[in-house]
This record gives sequence, C-alpha cells and structure tokens, in this order.
Amino acid sequence: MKVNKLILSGGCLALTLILILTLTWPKYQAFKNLQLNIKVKEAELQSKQEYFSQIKEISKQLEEYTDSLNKISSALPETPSLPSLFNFLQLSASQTGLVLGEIILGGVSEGKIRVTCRLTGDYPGFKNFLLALENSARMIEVEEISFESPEKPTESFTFVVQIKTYSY
Amino acid sequence: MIGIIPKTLKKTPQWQNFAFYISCGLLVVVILGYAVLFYFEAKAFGVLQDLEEKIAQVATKEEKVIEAKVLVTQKKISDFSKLLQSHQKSSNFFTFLEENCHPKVWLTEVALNPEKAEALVSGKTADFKTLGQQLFIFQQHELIQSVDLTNLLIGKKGETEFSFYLYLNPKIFQ
Repeated sequence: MKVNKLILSGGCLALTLILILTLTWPKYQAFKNLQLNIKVKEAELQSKQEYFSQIKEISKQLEEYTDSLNKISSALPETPSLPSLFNFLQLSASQTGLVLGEIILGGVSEGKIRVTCRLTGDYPGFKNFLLALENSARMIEVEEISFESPEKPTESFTFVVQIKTYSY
Repeated sequence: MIGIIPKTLKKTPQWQNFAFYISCGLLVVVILGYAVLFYFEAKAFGVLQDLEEKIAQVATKEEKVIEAKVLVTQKKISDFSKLLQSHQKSSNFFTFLEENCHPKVWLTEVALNPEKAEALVSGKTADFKTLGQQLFIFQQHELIQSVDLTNLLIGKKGETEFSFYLYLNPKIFQ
C-alpha cells in the first residue's frame, strides 16, 4: 500500500508540533526554572558562607573588647538582680550620709525595673546620692524627684526618688 | 481489457520527498531534544539538591552558638548606646538652681521630672520685687524654655509664697 508522502510529512509535522507543545517546551521551561533556582541557591550559599565568616571575624574582634563588654553587662545585667540593686541603693545612701527609709518596687516588666526610694538627710548628701546613681556601673535613670524643706531647721529633709533601671 | 503496455509509474515529486525527510528530521530532533533536556534537568536537579544540602550544612552547631552570641551582644551594644545617649543627669538641675537662685529666695519644695523636663518649684520671698527678679533670672536663662507661675500667696508677715513650673531645655540634663 502506498501512502502519499505529503500526508506523511503533514503527520510528522503535526506530531512534531504536538510533542513540542506537550513535552519539549514544558521540559525546557522546567529546566530553565531549575537553572534559575540553582543560581539563587548558589547566591544564597555564598552569602551564608560570607555571613558566617563575618560572624567569626566579629566574634574575634569582640574578644578584644572584653572589658568594655563586661561594663555593658554590668550596666544591663541579664537578670533584674533586685537584691544587688537594693544593696547598691542602701550603700550609696549610707555613703552620702542619707538614711534609706523605704524602698517600693514599682514593677518589673519588659526589662524595666521601677523603684521608689524614700530617703532622709541633708541636701548636699542628696546631691551626692544623685551623683552616685548617675555614675553607677548599672544604668539607672532618675524619673522623678521631690522634696520639701523641713519646717524646723534642725529637722532632716525627706527626699522621694523614683528610679528606672534595666535588665536584659 | 488487459493492458499490454505497462503504465509508467508516477514518480513522487522531489519537493515532496524533501518535505518528508525534513519533517522526519524535525520529529527526530524534537525527540532527541526532549531526551537531552530530560538528562540535563535530572543533572540540574541533582546540583540543586547538593546546593540545598550545602546550605543546610554551612553552619556547624558551634558556629550557630557563636552567631547567637554575636547577635545578642550586637543588640546589647546598640541598646546600651541608645540608653547612654539619652542618659540624664538630674543633678545638673540642682546645680543650676544653686547658681541661679536669688539670695533672698527660700525654696521650700521641688518636684523634678527629668523625662518631661519640667520642675515644680515652690518657695518664699520677702517681697514681690525679689520674686520678679527671680522670675526674670529664669526667663532669661537659655536652659529654661518657659516659666509658668501657678500660685501666689501673701503671708501674714507680708512675705510672698509662690509656686511655678519651670519648663526646661533638655540640654540641662546632658
């Protein structure tokens, strides 16, 4: 049986077209996407490698600043360390000639600790107490200060100080 | 009727032969192309998996610990520098008061709020003139933004009792 070559050619072309549309072209697209993904992953790998080498370098650099970092850790301790804070307040008060009458814990939240202190003593002592707070190794912010002069000159001042300190 | 003379066979035109071979060739090329793409895709998939494994293994446990430490330290330093920049020296206000308080003014009460940069100051003076001078001193000072007199009383002996708010320039605490 003889088949017209023209029909065969048409059939071949139609089959070729169908194969291109259903197999080869989608495969080509998938291959292109894979290549794109490979480039993205290569970039990701390179940036990760660079990132970790930078981290190592920074870690080495930080080792040279251990003293400064220790000071920062003292300023912002990892725990609220309330006993050591109260001890510092009591010590500073006694060193400046004040009497620490009362400590009221205002609250501990989100790393902020609020404390109100009631102190009695004289004005120069109170100023020195403020200086001690300002220059303490632990970061202490004075939020409010109030005091009244005593009615009699022989009586002591009463100072109320609200402070804020931090933990990390 | 039986034909005695043999018929000449119709020859296929040359262009039809050519078109047939070309279309067959194209079909073969497409099939081969698919096979080649299949091979390269599988290879690329392997490369991608290798890369993903490498990315997952790029940091050891030790390196991840170092990373966590560095990041915490970095945040701590950043927070500390912000806090240090905003650190207020409230004692500066009292030094300021000592330097700018009129000799004939007796302060009886002070309430300072460094965060709001305001202070309520109460006191006594012998007369209005002294109070006026005291207010003038504060109003003229660059570290005072404004003065708001809130309370004024005349005592039994003619002395003046006053209260005023001082709105401070935040630079006073630096």
